[in-house]
Amino acid sequence: MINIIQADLYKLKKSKPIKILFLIMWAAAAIVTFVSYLVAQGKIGMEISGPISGLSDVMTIAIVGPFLAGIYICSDFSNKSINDTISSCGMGRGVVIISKAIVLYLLVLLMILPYAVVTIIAFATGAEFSEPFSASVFLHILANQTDLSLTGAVIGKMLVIMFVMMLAYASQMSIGIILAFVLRKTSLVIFLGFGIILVLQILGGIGTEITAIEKFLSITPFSVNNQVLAMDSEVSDILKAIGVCFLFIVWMLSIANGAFKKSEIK
Amino acid sequence: MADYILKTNELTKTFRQTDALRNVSITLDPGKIYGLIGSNGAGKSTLMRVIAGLSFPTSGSMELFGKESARAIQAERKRIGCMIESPSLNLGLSAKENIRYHRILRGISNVELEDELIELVGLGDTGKKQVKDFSLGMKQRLGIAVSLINNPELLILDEPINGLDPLGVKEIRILLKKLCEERHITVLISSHNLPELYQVATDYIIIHDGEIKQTLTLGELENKCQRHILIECEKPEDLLVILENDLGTTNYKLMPDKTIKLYDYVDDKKKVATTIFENGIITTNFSVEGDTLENYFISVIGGEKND
Repeated sequence: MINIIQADLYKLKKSKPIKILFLIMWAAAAIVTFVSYLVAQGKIGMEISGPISGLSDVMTIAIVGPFLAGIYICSDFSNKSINDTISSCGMGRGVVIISKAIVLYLLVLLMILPYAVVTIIAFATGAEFSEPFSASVFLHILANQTDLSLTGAVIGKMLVIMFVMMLAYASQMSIGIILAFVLRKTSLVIFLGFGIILVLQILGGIGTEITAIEKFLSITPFSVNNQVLAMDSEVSDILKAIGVCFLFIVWMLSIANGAFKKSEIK
Repeated sequence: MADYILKTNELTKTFRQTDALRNVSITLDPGKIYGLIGSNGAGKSTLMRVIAGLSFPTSGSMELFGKESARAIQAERKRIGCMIESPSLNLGLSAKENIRYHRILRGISNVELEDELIELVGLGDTGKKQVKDFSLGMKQRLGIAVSLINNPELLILDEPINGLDPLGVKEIRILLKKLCEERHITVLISSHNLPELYQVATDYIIIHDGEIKQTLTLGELENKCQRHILIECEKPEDLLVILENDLGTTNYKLMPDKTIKLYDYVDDKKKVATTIFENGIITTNFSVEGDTLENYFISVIGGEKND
């Protein structure tokens, strides 16, 4: 397993699309945070939130996650890397799925990292931020914690919460893994993955109003309670969110394994 | 310990009620080059894909390096090198980077192997050129290099000389023979280029409509392909004396079915026929047999008699 991960990381390190995407995520994180700052200062109006909300973390990850699953996993089918791993490396299909999932989660974490870093930097400035976009879990931290001072404990808790939120994003991308191992077509994975994840994100938001939806989503990382944490979140909430994310990953990877273990590889 | 690398027992693979493989039983011995011959859709790639673990048989079993359970066979596949249908290559990487990727994937720490393999397949001068800019032949060569990274004991190559120029074909032929002789690698190779296959393989497996039609050694194939006059007569022993005394040849074979294969006078049939007639031998068959590998293959898959 470690060989697959190392080899894929080597390959991805050389990938131009990944580098470009990473730069785009930095720019998106910076723009969203800066606009949030300007709105809070009253320098621009809330009406800007419409066009800019497309750059918020929820939206970008809904696009970038399936995109990564598509170009990373599906391209390994088309360039026969997965064939080679199975036919000449002696590795089982389950190992392939887990290895690809780990690398994809690392990629997703890498892509969200700019939002986390920008949030910490913005928090450290002590400036006031608004929350013009509901589709940003990182801005939610920033906009609601103006009364907290910059102490080690606060930073520590913020890092933990951010890690959990990044974990939630990564586990959501498990849907992209299933799609990639079943469909094996980059365009289909991107299109369907974006659609499914976006719908589930929207349902997660609606779940705050409709109990039945929240009850259904509470066992997934799409529930607002498992995804959107704040500095005043209880330890039990944080642990529950972590547990749900890991269980969701196990659940999704089991489905992917079930679909892939006896399928033909062209 | 089994003295064979691979043994398949009655392997059958069915796609939508059509048999892509039907009761395929073959045995591959170490150090031999097996030419897998079959027309398009005969089942060559399917057989290779089943052996490589990319496809699963509908019925039948397989032994690989003496292991029979699915899990054990999968583990043993690290001793295989494969290039089925097209090489496993990352188009955005250079030749050396591709080798490095596959080396890391196999957990091999020997960095020097990268240059060795690149040189071995004649791609030493490609530098940082990305594989997407390679010709088909260069990609095939690199694919062969990738399949050799783990120093395999069984090499499975599906149409490896596709797209290669004549010089490239010759180099691959020499390389395969060298690998077979020096490293005792077993090679299973398919190709539509039968004359080329004829020059490289030590054994042949003829497959048609998913069925193994014939397995034979190079010697047997040469014997079958060598042009000769096939004579069937009532007194074959008498005819042998006539061939030696009257025609002065011992270049013949008396077959188990009492037919005689005469390898001389193929272009002077009239002399042979006259001599037989003058000696009062009654022939029931007198024909010229044996041909090229292509014709022999066509006759086998066409169901003609080839004893």
